[in-house]
Amino acid sequence: MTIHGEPIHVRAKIQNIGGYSAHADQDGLFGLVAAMRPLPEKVFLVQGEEEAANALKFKIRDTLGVNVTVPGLGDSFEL
Amino acid sequence: MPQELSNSYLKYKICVSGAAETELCSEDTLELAKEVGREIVRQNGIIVTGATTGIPYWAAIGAKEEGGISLGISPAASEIAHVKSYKLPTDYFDLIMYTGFEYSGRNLLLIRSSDAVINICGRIGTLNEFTIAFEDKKVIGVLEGTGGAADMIRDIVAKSHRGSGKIVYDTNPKRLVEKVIELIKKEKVVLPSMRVIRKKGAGWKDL
Repeated sequence: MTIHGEPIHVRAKIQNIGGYSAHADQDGLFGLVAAMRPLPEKVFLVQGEEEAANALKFKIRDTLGVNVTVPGLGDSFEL
Repeated sequence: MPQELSNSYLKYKICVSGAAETELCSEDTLELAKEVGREIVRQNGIIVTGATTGIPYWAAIGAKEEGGISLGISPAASEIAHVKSYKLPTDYFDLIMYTGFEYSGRNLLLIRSSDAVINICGRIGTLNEFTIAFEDKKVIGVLEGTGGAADMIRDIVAKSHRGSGKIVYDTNPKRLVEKVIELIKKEKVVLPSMRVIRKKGAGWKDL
């Protein structure tokens, strides 16, 4: 390419980043629940991959003593 | 005549040992752990745990919800290390003792401080506490059906050729705590209170 009439060799490459997310990560979501006072009686994890959701579920349950449910498709709950 | 434990201030010290991370446990295990904590208090016990997360934590929550006393024995040397380095909880305990002996040293003190141990689910640490309790001839209760180590213990004991130990098994928290306390009662040594009036002429003296 040419900049101000000077030929420049382009060394930059274009990379696609497929894993970028603007959502909070596990630590961020955990911190959100941990900061609640009083702690919630129950937490529903309704978005995310099943494996990641379950990992967060166990972390919240084991560390905060709060019940956590990862609902399946079509599940319903009475609050 | 020895004074009955129920007439003194002493309570049964029952350790709850189990997984700090519960992915391997059966789905209802945490609720069962909480119920074990409640039953310990209902049956004149105090709960002793490793001041950790998961099963012991839920059992401590159950004990405190029932108005009982909860003692934690930490692997850390200080409160700040307990929270910042080990990332362990401080709520739901009336008292936390900081041992500074890491996990293996803590496990020994935890078992030695207790009249009995109840195993729920569990991983290697739970097995470590189980074998310490077995070697120390402590009363052991196993809540079967909760997964992990708790569902291996019957088999391990059978294959380890050291006798059956003082172990009781059940799947129901209330019944298990009852069985554990029955065994503790057989072994509990209580110094008669100085206030107890003793029989004259039968080898006893007035105090």
